[in-house]
Amino acid sequence: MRTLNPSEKRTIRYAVIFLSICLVLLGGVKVWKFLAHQRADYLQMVAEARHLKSGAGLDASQATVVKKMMEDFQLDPATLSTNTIVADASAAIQKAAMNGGIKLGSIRESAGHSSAKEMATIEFDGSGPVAAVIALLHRLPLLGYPLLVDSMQITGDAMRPGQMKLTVTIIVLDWKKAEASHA
Amino acid sequence: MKEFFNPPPVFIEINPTSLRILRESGGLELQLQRAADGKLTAACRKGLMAALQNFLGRKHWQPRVRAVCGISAHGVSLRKIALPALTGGEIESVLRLQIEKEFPLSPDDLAWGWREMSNGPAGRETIVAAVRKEVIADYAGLLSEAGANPEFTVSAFARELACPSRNEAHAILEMDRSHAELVFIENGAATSLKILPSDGDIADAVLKFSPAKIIYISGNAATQNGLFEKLSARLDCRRLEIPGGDGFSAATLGLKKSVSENIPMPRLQSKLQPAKTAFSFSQMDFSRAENRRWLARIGVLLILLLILPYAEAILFKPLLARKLAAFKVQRQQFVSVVGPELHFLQSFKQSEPPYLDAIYLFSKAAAPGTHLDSLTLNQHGEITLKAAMQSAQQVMDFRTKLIESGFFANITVEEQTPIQNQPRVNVRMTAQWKPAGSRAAVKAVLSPVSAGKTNSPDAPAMPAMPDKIPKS
Repeated sequence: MRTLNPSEKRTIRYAVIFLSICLVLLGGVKVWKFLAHQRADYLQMVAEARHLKSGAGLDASQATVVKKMMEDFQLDPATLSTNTIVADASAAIQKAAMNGGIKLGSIRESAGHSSAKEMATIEFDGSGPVAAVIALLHRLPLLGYPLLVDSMQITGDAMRPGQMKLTVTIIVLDWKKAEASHA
Repeated sequence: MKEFFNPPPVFIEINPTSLRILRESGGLELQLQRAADGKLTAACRKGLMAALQNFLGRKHWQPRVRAVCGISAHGVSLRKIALPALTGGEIESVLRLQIEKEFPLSPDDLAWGWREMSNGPAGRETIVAAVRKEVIADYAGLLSEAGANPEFTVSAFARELACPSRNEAHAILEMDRSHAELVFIENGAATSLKILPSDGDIADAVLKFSPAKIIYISGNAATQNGLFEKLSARLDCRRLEIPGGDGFSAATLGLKKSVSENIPMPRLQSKLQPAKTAFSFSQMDFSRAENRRWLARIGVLLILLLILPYAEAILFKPLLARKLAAFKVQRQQFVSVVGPELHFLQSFKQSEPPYLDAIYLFSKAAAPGTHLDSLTLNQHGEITLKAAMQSAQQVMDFRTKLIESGFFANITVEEQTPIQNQPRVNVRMTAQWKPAGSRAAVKAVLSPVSAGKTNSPDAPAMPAMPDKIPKS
């Protein structure tokens, strides 16, 4: 192999230095881009985490509101069962009426309109003192079931002074459908 | 561990021909060579530097070692200065003026320190020690480069702390092979300082200069030429017992005692007037190793500042991604349960018809003697009332009260029929309660009478039903 003269050696040396610089710059740019991309992703995640943190505060206040409403209505939708709710609600209404001193008459249950998110309708007659009737109306929403008084009629009992006759139609709401419509 | 990060202090005695250094683990004694001007020769400085660095063994990252140094009495002047009664902050400025007056050099050209001898209502008496600041600067530069943080006092003051009894006035004679120093101590403070010629008759010189009856002798040449015997014949002469070994001397032990027992000593400092100086990068001398080290540290910190944000992203991104994914799953579960329940409960609350409010308002609006026949209400707010009242005026009043309540709309008297020969009017009315947002809120007030008549404590008041309901 021919021996290189000093000029050729210098040229080769410069070329090696130039190529080395090019390679280092190219590699450096790639590394820099990779790092910048990683950092941008990380900052985006940090921003998302901050957003979620503020959302968590909203969730906590929602949970507080739900808890308070459940305590106010004495109603926990998670503990209700679709299969037994109508029977349980009917029994609870009758028990509340009898405990309040109302003498119950006929009771009719019928299936509700599914389009109106009703599970069943309970209609009952009863009679009793004024205070007992009012107390029953007061207690109906607090029985622990999603009950909505659709209509009511109060009439005086001519045969028994101080007594009232009461006819109430109560809707048992289908809470599952109501929840599903929101979800 | 504490000593690992904060090395213990060292105690240094600097004499004209030697330097003694002492610390907990041992000591060192080095010989000094000085040029004609009294400064250390370059070769001596170089050798000293290497020996001190080796002795201190400080790593670059460790803080500087505190070096408490005592210099010999050569060039040191002592003056008693009386001051008027002053507060602490004013003493130094007044002392500067007094030094200007008492010493041949300006206070700015001196390294000086002071100690209080007495303090009374009339004033205070201080003793000021001063030396040319170049002397201190020379040693300070050497020790700083070796990795120490030096502070200076006079060795003769430190020797006083090595004396066993310090109550009576006494003198201390330090006898070295090349020099002798005599200090007179009164009331626990040095009041005069003499350099004695080592080649002359030391005993005569001591007897001439020292007014004290007690004299302590220390130093490695204390017993030569029968000095101790000569002085013992005239004075109460006592020997300061110093443990043998490199670095041990009355001065180094006294310095050590001053630090361990926190006894204040006059500290020689160059107390220059504060000058307004501006930092100039171009004036920095980067040929000095210390400056180069600081420059390297700055460079490392800048590189860390640049790299850390990217390192943080690479290190913490996977961890954050995992936490975010777990949190999102938990939140989804939470929202899927709580969201629908909240919606249902809110709609349940909004759709709850205000039957009791309506009944309460009817009871409040009805005049005494009103006979209720029937009342029908439904969840759409449609109300039908059949009742018997005593006059047409009562019917009008009843309707007016219902309108004024702000709760009802469309109140219509569909039928109003007076009954012949009776003060009675049969009436049939319809009404509609207003939507939830626009109707007035109802505030129930229990009257004592009606409250007494109610059987249940939670039931609202209601007028008593008539004994007889008339047929319409």
